[in-house]
Parts: sequence; structure tokens; C-alpha cells
Amino acid sequence: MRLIIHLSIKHLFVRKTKTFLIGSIILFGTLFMVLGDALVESMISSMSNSIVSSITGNIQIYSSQTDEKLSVVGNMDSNFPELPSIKDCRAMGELLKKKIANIKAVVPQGINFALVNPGNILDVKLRELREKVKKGEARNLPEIEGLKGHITTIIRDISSNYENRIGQAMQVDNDEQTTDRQSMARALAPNFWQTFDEHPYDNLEFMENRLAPLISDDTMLYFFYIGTPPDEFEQNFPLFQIVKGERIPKGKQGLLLNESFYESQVKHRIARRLDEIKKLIEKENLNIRDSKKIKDLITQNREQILEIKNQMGPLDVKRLSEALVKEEIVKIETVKGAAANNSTGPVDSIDNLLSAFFDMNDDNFLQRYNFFYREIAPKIILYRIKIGEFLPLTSLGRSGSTTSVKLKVYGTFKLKNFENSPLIGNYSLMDLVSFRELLGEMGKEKRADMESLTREIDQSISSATSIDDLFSKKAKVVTKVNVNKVTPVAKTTATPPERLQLEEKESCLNAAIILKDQSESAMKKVLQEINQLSKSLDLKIQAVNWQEAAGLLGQLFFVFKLFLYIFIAIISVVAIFIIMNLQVMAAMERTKEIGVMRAIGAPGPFVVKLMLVESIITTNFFGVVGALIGMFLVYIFGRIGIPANGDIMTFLFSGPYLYPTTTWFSLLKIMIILNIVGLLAAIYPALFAAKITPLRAMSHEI
Amino acid sequence: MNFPKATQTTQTTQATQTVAEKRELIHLENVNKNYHLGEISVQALKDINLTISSCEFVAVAGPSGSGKSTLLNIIGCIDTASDGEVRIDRESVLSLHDHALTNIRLHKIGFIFQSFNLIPVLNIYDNIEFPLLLKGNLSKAEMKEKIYHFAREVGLIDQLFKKPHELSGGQRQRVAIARALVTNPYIVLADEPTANLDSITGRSIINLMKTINETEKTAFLFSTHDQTIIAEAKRVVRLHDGKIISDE
Ligand SMILES: Nc1ncnc2c1ncn2[C@@H]1O[C@H](COP(=O)(O)OP(=O)(O)OP(=O)(O)O)[C@@H](O)[C@H]1O
Ligand SMILES: [Mg+2]
Repeated sequence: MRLIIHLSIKHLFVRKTKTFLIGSIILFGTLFMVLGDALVESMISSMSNSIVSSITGNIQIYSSQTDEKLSVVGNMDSNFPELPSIKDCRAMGELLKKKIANIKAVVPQGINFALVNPGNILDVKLRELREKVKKGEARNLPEIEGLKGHITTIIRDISSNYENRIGQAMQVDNDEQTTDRQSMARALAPNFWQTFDEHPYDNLEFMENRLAPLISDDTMLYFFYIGTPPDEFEQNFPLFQIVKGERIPKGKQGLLLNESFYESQVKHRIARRLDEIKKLIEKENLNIRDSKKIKDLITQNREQILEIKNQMGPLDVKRLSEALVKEEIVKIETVKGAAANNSTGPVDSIDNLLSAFFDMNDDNFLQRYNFFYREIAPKIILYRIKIGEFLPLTSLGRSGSTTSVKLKVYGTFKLKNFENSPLIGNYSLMDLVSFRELLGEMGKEKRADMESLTREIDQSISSATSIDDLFSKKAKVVTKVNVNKVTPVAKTTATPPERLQLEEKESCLNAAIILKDQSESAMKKVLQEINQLSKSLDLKIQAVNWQEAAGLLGQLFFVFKLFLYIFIAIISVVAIFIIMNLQVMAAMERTKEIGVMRAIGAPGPFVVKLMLVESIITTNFFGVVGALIGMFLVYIFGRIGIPANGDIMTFLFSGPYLYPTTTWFSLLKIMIILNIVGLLAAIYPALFAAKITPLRAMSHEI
Repeated sequence: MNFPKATQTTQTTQATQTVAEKRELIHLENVNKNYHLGEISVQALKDINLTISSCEFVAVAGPSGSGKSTLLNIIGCIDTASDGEVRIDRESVLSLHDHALTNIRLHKIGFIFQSFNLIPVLNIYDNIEFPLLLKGNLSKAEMKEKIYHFAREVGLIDQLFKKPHELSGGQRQRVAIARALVTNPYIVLADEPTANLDSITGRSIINLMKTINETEKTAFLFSTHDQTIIAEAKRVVRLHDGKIISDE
């Protein structure tokens, strides 16, 4: 063996070109493998960390009395497994903490899906009017008059659209049509506002119930939510952060919307598009002139200026027109054109002004963006749900029943690193009591409340034609909502807002377990311990690791790894083929030398071993060099971070930067792969070389 | 390296050197060799009968294409005869497989080729050491002693740590001789060892071989078509068209 190694090394030194060629393939191959591996592994570990410390915890427990699998995050549809409850979550948590030392906290949870109808523009304006009437403000104040004028405009719009809609999609029987027409006529009658002042509440109710539902806006929102004690959640999931508003006060029922949901679904569409353009320009260095994506957004905005116009009363329209002209934001020609057309009134000219305003280019975008937020945003409904408002939520509860609960929106929150995640960005958060109410699990006291349905709830539900309709409207997105399960009559619970939580046994669907020692092995041990404990004490629970509980995200990791291994496999195969060819060529060049060796008594296996050893030495030497360079680069990148470019990368990196690291295990793995590559690449050339006979070498000699 | 030692032969090596003065080393009986080049069949050797004993110093002479190399290759177990009987050290080799033939080459035969004798990446010392390492039956010190002994004998004691390409053709052939001898073979086969050398160097190589034949008692069988060199041989086997035309 000494001879072989000695000879191999001599050889590698003498045939520098060949050694170098093969060496650099190995070196770069290893380098890429180390980098690729570090990238993927860091992505996975960064994402794992984020998931563990934002939603799942290290371990999830749920009832063992089911065949369903727990899936906390990553459901793309609302078809949640129907898990039986864990009867007394609090007691269960205490028991587990007492029995298993490594458990730091047990946070009760549950996941469900909600539909929300935040009300259309008429609802909002009527609500504003109601507030003003309530406060008893002077009837003929310009503000109130403006509001009334706005409401009339909206009703006029409804009226003029009504016949169109009857002709097209809407199927309404004749009786209903007559009532609808009568209602609209009543509201548009010249003396309507005089009668209104005599019986404001009756008339408000009339408009809310009869007219508001006639607006065909697709105002339905849907989102996932976690039901959990908010304070415990915040304590144990460090990535939780309040963005707008405040936390749900201890002991209160309430809702925190996900910031990303709030910004992307609740915000006014036009504002949302402006935000996106700004982000594309600033974060992805695009410009309006060259980007089709941005141009499309601008076109969409210009097509939907009605959504701004309709939300403003006549007074605001006037102010905005003046501001637009004064700031010379809109070109004079446009204004002139509008002025020439003055007969159609100021409302028409605002169309032109807005259309010109939203026709933005790279030069004026920022100025107009700021103008939008300064002048336009305060006049329109920037967010369809206001922080502090009570929101009627409807959820699919146990055995297919739907339940509605009105909850105060205390604010918005984000789970750091998942701000833009399509998988987690749609999760809102509510207290556990509300969660259980929406699930249809109520105590005795709750049942009593059921009788006293408040008018408000009734109204919010009636604005959707029926519950079936309510769900089927989103049927495209909510593919798996089982409509058959939905009972036609909704059980509606009215919750006196902000009432203290009931002191009863708290049940939950699942619970997140946070560990003190979060290592893989410690986690496995606790998993076992819980499952054993459940068996011996008949706790009827089962524990799964967070990855299993993460559903689709767990699979995403698998896909990442798959990509990594495909990448490594490609590198390896390419390397094997190149090296193989180089080695065969080298063996041919060495025919005479090999022939002499064989002639003077070197057996065939000697030649095979010689070639293999050469290959192994080359692979390991250059492999180690490549790995060292790779580690160095990983170290550098680990210090400065790789910036994420765009939402997808931010999601993959679980944050704005990825700090790759590599482990000895990874390096070992790569070195093993490398040696396999080296051996595979050398086997054929080695066998080829062993076939060289002294005789053949000799005939070369002639 | 742990090469299977040719057990049946190695123990007898020393004994033969000392005891049997005239011992049959090579025995060829009715050997034929045919080469097939597609349709054409070339008979390179015809009905060869030849016996070479220990301590002999034999030249194989003949014009180009007469079958000298073929004969030496068959004797050296590099090539196999088409039919007939080939015995090396009284062992029939015709039915042996590559592994066994390799062993015979390693333990019983030394080779000197016309050119490309040496392993270019190894220095002279390592080149001479190579077959010893393959045999693997000597200690480091014993090997060193042997290498120095033969290096001295071929007069290259101060070139030991040079690379082959730093030596002249004659010097390289001396290294080849040293390497061929270092394993104490029964016989050294040399196929036109002087062909690439000028006549003076060629003669000195032959003289060296002759000297060693006398001092080490190693048999030599070499081929050549150089008349002056033939004159140095004690026995000359002449080949023509694959046949032995004289043996004196
Ligand atoms: N590998 C081979 N395949 C086919 N024919 C061969 C082969 N080797 C030798 N021959 C033929 O066998 C005959 C003997 O060749 P050989 O090389 O033994 O002659 P030689 O006496 O060594 O000639 P030279 O002095 O030129 O070396 C020649 O006719 C040659 O063409
Ligand atoms: Mg020849």
C-alpha cells in the first residue's frame, strides 16, 4: 500500500495539468455542494425556528380519539380536520409540566376559518350617520348634509345598476323585485330626508336592511385564525408583535387581525396597489416605464377610480378637486378639458382629474403617492375594518353548523419573518373563549345568551342573502368548504362585547408545547414521554413534532431537500463523467508505463488500486480545499447575511436576511458523497487500465 | 502490499542458485505462435524447441520480423504460445492464468526492454525498488542493501536520486539491468536492449550483462540483430521466419 500511495502522489505531482483539471472540478463541485447545502439547511432551520417560535412550538398535542391528522399551518383550504377537544387544556398543561421537566409552557390553541362581511359603503356611511344622529348633532350642519347627499348618490347608483343586474346574474323573484323597487323609490323621493329627520332610527334601519344588501360588492373577507389565550401566546411565541392598535386585554374577548391580511385584504384596493408599486420600485428596483407588472397595476387603478369617487361625499369631492388643481398635480390641459365640459358638473370632472392623477409615471410617482395618503386617504374608507370596531365573524363549527360571534378588533399583529408568507400571513388571532363559541362549544351560560340575539348581528348576517350564499360566494377560493354540512339556519350567538371570560374548564383543540431544551434529541424524548404518559394515565392525547403539525410547510422542507439532492446529484454525475473521461485519457497516456509495471510483475489489482488511490487522494485533497473555501464563504455570508430580494425570498429566508451556517455533519455528508463520486469516477478507468497488458504496451513501443 | 508470494518457488530460489550448476530453466517444445489479423494468419513462430539452463548467456539473432520478440515474450510469460509446451523452472505455463503468470514474471524473470523501461515519475532508487516492493518479502534495510549493491554493480551509485529523464539512454538501460536483477531472477530477458543505443554504449551494456552473468550466475537471454554484439554471446540461437535455423 505504501508503494501505491507513494506512486500515486508522485504521479499526481508529475501530471500536474491532469491533476489540476480533475482537482478543480472536484474543488468547485465541493464548493457548490457546501454552499448549496448551507443555503438549504439554513433556510430550513431558519424557517423551522420561525415556525416553532411563531405558531407551533416544539411539539403539538391533540386528542388521540381521532384518525384525523393535526395540521396547524399550511392549509391551503379551510378543510380543517375535525379534532375532538382536549377537555381541560389548562389542567392538562399543568399535569404535563409537572411530569416532564423539559416542558416550559403549554399553550392551548385551535385553528379555524372565518368569514367576515365588514359591510359595504352604504353600511359604512349609514353607520357614520347613525353616530352623528346619536350624538344629536345639529341637523343642517354641512357635514351631515354632505353625508346625506352622499348616501343619496349611493342609492341612486344602486338604483341605476339594479335593472342591469336583474338582467344579468341576479335571480330575484318578482315579489322581491317589487319590494326592492319600492324601497329605492322611497329613499330617492324628494321628501325622504325630511321624513328621515322625524324618525331617524327607523329610517336608518330601513336603509340598512333594505338598501345596503342591494349593493353587489364582493365585500366578503375570509381568514384563518388561531384561538389561544392571547397573553400566553405572546409570552411564548417571541416572534409575535403588535403592529397597529393594542393587545387584547387580559380577560377580554377580542380579535387581532394579521397585519399582512389587514394590509392586503382589508385595505382599499387602490391604496394597496399604490403600496405595491412603491415596494416594487424600492425593493425590486423596477421602474414604471419598463415594468409591465407596474403598468398593469396603474391601469387597474385608473379603471377603478369609481371606488374612490363613490366613497366620498360631495363636499370631499369638491375639496379634492381643488387640491388636485391647486397642487398642479394634474396637468392643466386635463383641467381645462374638464372645465370645458362643465355642464356635467363637478362630479364628472373629478373622474377626469382622478384618472389623470392615477396615470402615474416614474417622475411623479412618489409625489402622487404622498398626495394620495395626505389628501385622498382620509376622505375614503382606507380600511374596510377599523381598529376598535366590532366585527361579526362567521365560522363553521362542529358538525357543520355555522356560528357567528361579534368581536372587537383590538389591533393587528405580525409574526416576524412571516410578514409576507402566503402560508402564515393569513392567520389572525383571537381569545380561546371566542374560538370555542365559534366552534359551537358553549357552556350553559352561553346557551342562555343565544336567545337574546342582538339586532346588529342579525343585520350583519342578513346582508348576505343566506349563509349558504355567504360561503358559496367564495367557493372559488374556499374549495373544500363542505356546503352540504352547512345547516341553512345559522346559530347565532350574541356576545356582549368585552365581557369577561367565563371561568369554566377551558377546552382546546390542540396545544403548543414549548421546551426548555429544544434540541432534536430532547424533543424526541419528550414526544415519547407524553405519548407514554397519555397511555398510562389515559389522557387521550397524542403528541407530534412541530414538523408533522406544520402540514404543508413540513412538506415544503422535503421539497427543499429534494431540490438540494437533485442539485448535488447533478453536480456529482457531471463530475463523474468528466473525471471518468479524463482518467481514461490519462490511463491511455500511461499505457507503456502500466505495461512495464505489469511486465515486471505488478498484478492487475495493483493497477486498479493505484488508480483508485490516486482518485481518492485527488478528491479528498481538492475536496477539502473546496470545502474550506465553501466554509469560509458560508462564514462570510453568515456574518454579513444574504439579503432577500422580493417576497418569495423573504419567505424562503424567513426574514430580510439569511445567515447561512454549516455543520460538521453536513461537511461529513459532503465528504462521503465526494468519495463516492471519486470512486465511481475512477472505477471504469481503473478497470480499463488493468486491462492494459504488457504485450499491448510493447506493441506501442514499436 | 500483500502480494501472494509465489510460495512454491521462492523458497527454492536460493537453493537453485547454489546447488544446481546446470539446471533447466526454460524448456520449449514444438511451440507455435500464430497471430490473426482478421482473415490473415501470420505464423510468427514455427515448431520451436529450445532449452535454456541456468547461468547461460544466450543471444537470439535474426532479421527483423523473424520472431525474436515473439519468442522472448512467450518465454517471459507476456504472451502465450498457440500450441506446444512451455515450461519455466519445470512448470508448465501454458494453462496458467494471468495472476499466476504475473507471479512467475515477478519472481523468476527479469526484464530489460528496448525503451520505456522505467517508471518516469519515480527516481532511480524507487525504480529499482519497485519490484522488491511488489514482492514485499524484504525489510527496508535489506532492500536498501540490495539496491545499493546492484546500483554499484551497474555503476550508477551516484545517480540514484535522479529522475529517468535526467539520464542518458545507456544509463537508463543500466538502471533497467539493476532493476531486472534486484529480485534475483533465474533469467533476465532482454529484447534488443541495445537497439536504441550507439554501438559503443551498446557494447558496454552487453559487457555489463556478461559480467553480471558471471558474478551473479544469472542466466541472460537477449535478442539482437547486431553482429558485433552476437559475437559476445556464448550461445547464439538464430531465427529466420519463425524457425530456429541454428543453435550453437
Ligand atoms: N501483435 C502482433 N500481431 C500480429 N502480428 C504480429 C504481432 N507481433 C508480431 N507479429 C508478426 O510476427 C512476426 C514476428 O514478429 P517479431 O516482432 O517477433 O519479430 P522481430 O524479430 O522481433 O522483429 P524486429 O527485429 O523488427 O523486432 C512478424 O511477421 C510480425 O509481423
Ligand atoms: Mg522485436
